[in-house]
Amino acid sequence: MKNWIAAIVMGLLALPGLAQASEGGANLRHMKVDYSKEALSAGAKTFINNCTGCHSAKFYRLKGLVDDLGMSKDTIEKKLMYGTKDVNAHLTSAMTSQEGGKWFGAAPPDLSVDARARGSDWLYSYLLGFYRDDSSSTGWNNHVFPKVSMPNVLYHMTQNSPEYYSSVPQPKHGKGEVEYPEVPKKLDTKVQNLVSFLTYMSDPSVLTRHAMGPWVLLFLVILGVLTYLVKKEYWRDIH
Amino acid sequence: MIEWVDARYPLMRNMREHLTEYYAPKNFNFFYFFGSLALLVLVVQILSGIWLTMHYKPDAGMAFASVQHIMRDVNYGWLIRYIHTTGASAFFIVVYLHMFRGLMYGSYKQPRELVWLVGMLIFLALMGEAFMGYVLPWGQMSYWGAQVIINLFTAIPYVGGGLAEWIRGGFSIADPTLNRLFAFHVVALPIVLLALVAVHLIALHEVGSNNPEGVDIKKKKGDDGIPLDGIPFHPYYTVKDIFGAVVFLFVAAVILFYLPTFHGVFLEHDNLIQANPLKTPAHIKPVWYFGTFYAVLRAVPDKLTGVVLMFLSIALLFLLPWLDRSKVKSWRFRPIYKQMVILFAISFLVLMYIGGQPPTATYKMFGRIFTVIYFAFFIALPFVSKWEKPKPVPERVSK
Repeated sequence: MKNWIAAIVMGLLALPGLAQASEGGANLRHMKVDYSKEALSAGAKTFINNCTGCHSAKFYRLKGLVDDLGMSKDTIEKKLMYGTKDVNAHLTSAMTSQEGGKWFGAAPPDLSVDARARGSDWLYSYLLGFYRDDSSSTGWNNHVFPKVSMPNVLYHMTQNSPEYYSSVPQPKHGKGEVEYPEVPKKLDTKVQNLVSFLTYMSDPSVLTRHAMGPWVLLFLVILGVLTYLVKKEYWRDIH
Repeated sequence: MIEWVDARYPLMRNMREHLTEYYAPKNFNFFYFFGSLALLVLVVQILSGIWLTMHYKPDAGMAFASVQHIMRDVNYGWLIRYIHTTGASAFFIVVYLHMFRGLMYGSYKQPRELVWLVGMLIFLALMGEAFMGYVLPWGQMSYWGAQVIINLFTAIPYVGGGLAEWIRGGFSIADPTLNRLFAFHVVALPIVLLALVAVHLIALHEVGSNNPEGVDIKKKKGDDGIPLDGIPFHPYYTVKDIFGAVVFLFVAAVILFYLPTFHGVFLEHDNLIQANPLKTPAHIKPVWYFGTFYAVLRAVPDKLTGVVLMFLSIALLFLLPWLDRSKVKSWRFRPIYKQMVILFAISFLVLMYIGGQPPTATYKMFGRIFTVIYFAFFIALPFVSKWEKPKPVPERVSK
């Protein structure tokens, strides 16, 4: 009897691979999200200095940079926001979605929970997935998000250091994975920190959760041992 | 003090009948934790739900933002919400295991038919509760999931279109729909659930619990009238269930603190995009616990037939006590029935997986094969249960 069960289960384990093989889609690069304060602070600076011109993160409060990342109120208000925003304000862009829609054809999306919706690997691959395309209005196209209207804003940062984006290959027609060139260390770190920050921003509770988690689990282990001993004591006379 | 109350309310009598002198078989195993765990999850969901209601806004324009407000600005709002979302999935895990236990040991059989029927009603109410709760965050999957489910009513001939419109409160899912689903989710269905759970327990305590061997412990009583294989629920099973609850809470806490979305299974990624009536997502899928029934729905191309099959896939479970004609309860003494139940459980799980996948040719084919297996269980059961010769059932339970 066990044999046929095992046979069915083994057969079914192959099912996802079987069904996936016929589909395809852009291959994503993998990165590990770094929740350290250094990485997140670096990512926050990159985000505020480069992304908030167009993108909002309307659910994120600047206060989080103080509470979670340990930045000072002064740094945030004077050096990051140039006095335009109070530390209790939400991280909104000066550009409205109407203006964005007019200028880019599609309004730049709000990025508060974007990392939750798309995943860190997607964002990482997207930001490193721009390639030259003269037929598009920005001169760039993207492997992960074809025909995206966002320009390649990271390009100017990589011009002087070893150039990266010009060597990203054109997409292959038909099946087959794109072979990305190696990413220069500096650019890689910058993008990874940015994606880490976006991921943290999509659910800021992650830092509190990871800090509280071990204590809650420890408490439950102790409670588990105690309740088990109580149970054992009561059940000694039941046979 | 107790006397004063007892003269006016049967407090001690209730305590005796349901706890201290409710005799349960002494051979409960692992699968007997899930009844009390379901009760625990129900209480947790109601409490966490009350606190969520204090900050949530049932308004199509504000709902999505109010959930983010809870996650970010409300003190420990993220904890309350994750308790509620993890609890929702946990509810179905424990309820499915609880129901599977019923299948394993024939707990639905005479004299526990009503316990089973009321339990099935609880399951129906729970599915309604879960569906409506999932609409409230007003993400893309909330919106389009509701669209798909409510549109199922349009498959009903003649009245379907009007009925769906009446349920939605309009021509499409919109603010009025959200408001009424909120009302049902936080007021109507919790009351129904609590009432049904009370009836479920009263009915169970009237006939007594089954056990892994399906032995009727009331047949062998001592001189004091107490079943020889029975032990008082309190303290024996209360202390055991408390330990089980702590183990359960440990697993729930691991998910809550480290994997709150459970890789997009408990909280779907697409639901972090605000509902947009103008943009249909490429792949609309239900939450994992509805996967089985959704896969049955999609197994046939014709909409009405699909809806009827989906309805049957749940309705047939109600009929189990009468489809199973064997005199013996537990699968331990019914080897063929045991294999059928295992095959049924496998088809249930495979369909659950397929229900969450895009309808590619491969998945469609497997969906059909396992839909047939799912229904074959119910079709074969009356014959096999009559024909199978069970092994002898012992007089007393063995440990």
